[in-house]
Amino acid sequence: MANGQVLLAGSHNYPASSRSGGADAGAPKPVNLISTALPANSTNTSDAALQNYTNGWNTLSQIVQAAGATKDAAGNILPGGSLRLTAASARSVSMDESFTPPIVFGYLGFDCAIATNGELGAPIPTYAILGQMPVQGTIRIYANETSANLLRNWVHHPKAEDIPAGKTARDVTKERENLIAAWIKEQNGEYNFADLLNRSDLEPQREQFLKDKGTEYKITQ
Amino acid sequence: MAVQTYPKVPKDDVGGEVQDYIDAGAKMVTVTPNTDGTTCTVIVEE
Repeated sequence: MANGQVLLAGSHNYPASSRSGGADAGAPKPVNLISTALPANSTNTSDAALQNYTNGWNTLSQIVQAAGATKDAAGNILPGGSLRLTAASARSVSMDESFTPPIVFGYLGFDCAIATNGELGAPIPTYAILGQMPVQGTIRIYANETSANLLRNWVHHPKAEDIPAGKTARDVTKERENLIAAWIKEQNGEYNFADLLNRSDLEPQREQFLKDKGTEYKITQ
Repeated sequence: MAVQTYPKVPKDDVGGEVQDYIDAGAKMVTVTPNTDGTTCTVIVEE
C-alpha cells in the first residue's frame, strides 16, 4: 500500500445534546453529575432556572479543571491538548479541544497489484479494496519484445514506397490493421489486432503471424 | 464490458496504442501519466 494523503486535525468541537455517554483514556477523571432543581411554585421559575444554569456551569467547569489537573514538571497538561467549554444549557453542552501537534485521524491511500516480472499494476484506492468494491479490469504488460516493435512499426509507420498514390499513411495503417484482424479471425483468436500489437502475453501469436505473413507482407525493420 | 489496464506504457508508444484500440472499436481509452515521468497508464474499455 502506498500512502497518498494523511488527514490531520488541529482542533475539534464536541456538540452534545440531551444524551449521555463517557469514555476514559489513560487515567480516569472525576465526572460530577449535573442535577437540576424544580421550581417550588410558579412565581420562582426564573430564579430556579438561573440557579440550575449556574450550578450546571460550575459543575462542568470543575470537571474540565479536574481533567486538566494532571501536569508534568513543566506545568503542561498530560498527555496533551486543552479542553474548554464553549456553551451549555439545560439540554446541551459544547466543548472545543485543540491538539498540538495535530492528531492523525485517517489517510487516503492506494494499492498497486504486482504482476509478473515485478511490474506494478494501476493504483487502486485502498477504500475500494477494504470495502470489497468490485475492481474491473485485467492487468496487461505492454509488449516490448522485438516482434511487437517490428509489427507496430510496420502498422504505424508505413514506408513512403508502400503508400500508393491517392492514399495516405493512415489509409495504409488501417489496411494493415485489417490484414492482422483477418489473420486473427482465421486463427479463431479471442483477441483483436490492437491486443496482438500491444499485449506482452500474445508474443507466441505475434511470432506465428510474422512466420505466416512476414514475407508476404514484407514486414521488415 | 471488458477492461484492460496497461500500467506502464512508454510515453513515446502511447499514441500508437491509443490509435490501435480506437481503431479496434474500443469504447473508451484513458491515459494517465505516471509519476515516473516516462510512462503512462492506459485503461481500455471495450
